[in-house]
Amino acid sequence: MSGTIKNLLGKLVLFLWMSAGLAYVFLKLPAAEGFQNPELARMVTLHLPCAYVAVIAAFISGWHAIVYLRGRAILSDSKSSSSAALAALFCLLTTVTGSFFAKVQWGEFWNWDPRQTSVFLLLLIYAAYFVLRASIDDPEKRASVSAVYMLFAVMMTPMLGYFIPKAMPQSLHPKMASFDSAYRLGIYVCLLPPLLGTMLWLNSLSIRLEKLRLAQEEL
Amino acid sequence: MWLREARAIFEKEIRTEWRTRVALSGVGLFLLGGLTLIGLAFQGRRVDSDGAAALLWILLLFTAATGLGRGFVQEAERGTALALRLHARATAVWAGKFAFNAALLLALTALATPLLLGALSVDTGETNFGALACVLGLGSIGVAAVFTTTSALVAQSNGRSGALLAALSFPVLVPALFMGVGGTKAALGVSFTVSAWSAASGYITVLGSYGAIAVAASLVLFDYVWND
Repeated sequence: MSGTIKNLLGKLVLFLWMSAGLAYVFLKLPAAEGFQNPELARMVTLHLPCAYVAVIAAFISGWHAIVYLRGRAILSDSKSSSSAALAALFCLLTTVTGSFFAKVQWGEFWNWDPRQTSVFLLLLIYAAYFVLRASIDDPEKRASVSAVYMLFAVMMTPMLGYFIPKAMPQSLHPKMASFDSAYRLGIYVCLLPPLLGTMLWLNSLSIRLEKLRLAQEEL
Repeated sequence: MWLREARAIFEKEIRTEWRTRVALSGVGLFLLGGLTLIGLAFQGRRVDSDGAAALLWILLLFTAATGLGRGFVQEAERGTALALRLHARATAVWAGKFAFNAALLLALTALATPLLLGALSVDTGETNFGALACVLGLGSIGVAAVFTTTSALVAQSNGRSGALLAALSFPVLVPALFMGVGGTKAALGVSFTVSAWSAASGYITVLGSYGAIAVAASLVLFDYVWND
């Protein structure tokens, strides 16, 4: 019984926090002076947390891939793939919000900016990961092969984040974003925690579903 | 001991390939066909170093995707993977296959580059051929390492299709493509005021470390796909 109440309370907190956060950034947050379109530049408060959540989900997924290869528990594979799906979802949200921001700010939806490209590539890698999963029937083989691909991609892509922006210093993204306190409040307090909470909640739902499916297969 | 195992795998690859020469002639024809299509499309018009570098790398990646994916797929189809597992350690198998793939891709690159530059009548007056060889050589080694590992993954899947190989490899290969195109452009040396070596050295360093990371990551991870 107390579990149900806690569960309900968690969802309520998440809902209220998200509503309050959205209300703050839409109604209270001052327009960002110094941008092409100060009113619309508020969008960055949605764009940046999505990118953070995507990266966190990607790390969770990579972590469970390592755990799977060490312990060979099939549940670790389910955890890895469900976080991968959420990482892909938040990468997509980052790309979409980012390209609207790019349209407002730099005049084009797509600029082949190094960071735009690297998020898009991450998306391609996750797409390939799910195609690979779909093409293997045996659950254990699927788990180890997809874990290896995931980790291989994770090891190869920091090249993107580190070397390419170095080689292409003309990135449109700022190297060190310096937001004023109203924007920091909007990003790190109002929207990052509820988005992260949503991601973790969805993740726990899909893991529970996966557990049920595994239990059903055993029957 | 490890080296002897890896060498034995490498020699076995060459011997089985030389018996039929299917991969070699198939990939060679693919490369020549691609070159012909590019040449026809440009009709002898002069192409600048930007365009030539991009076309060269795209041709190389597609050639690699057709030619380098067979290694582990063949073992799975002929049912010979088990024999290899008994005779050599996983990392030695990977190293032997990688050495064969790298040698094949280096040979194809050496064949394709002068032909493509000739077909596009690129101005090579200011080209630094040493830097060009470094860029293309290191790039080919990194690309071969990635394809060796992804082909081992594809060999485990249903259908073992080439499309899946390309889908898995291309996003991982983008850093190599990116730095390869930049380095090739710099080595061709038309649009830079500094010397081609100093313009290309940054790209060469990154390509070298890309290859090193690809080899290291594959050696760490390969065991988990192979001994399953």
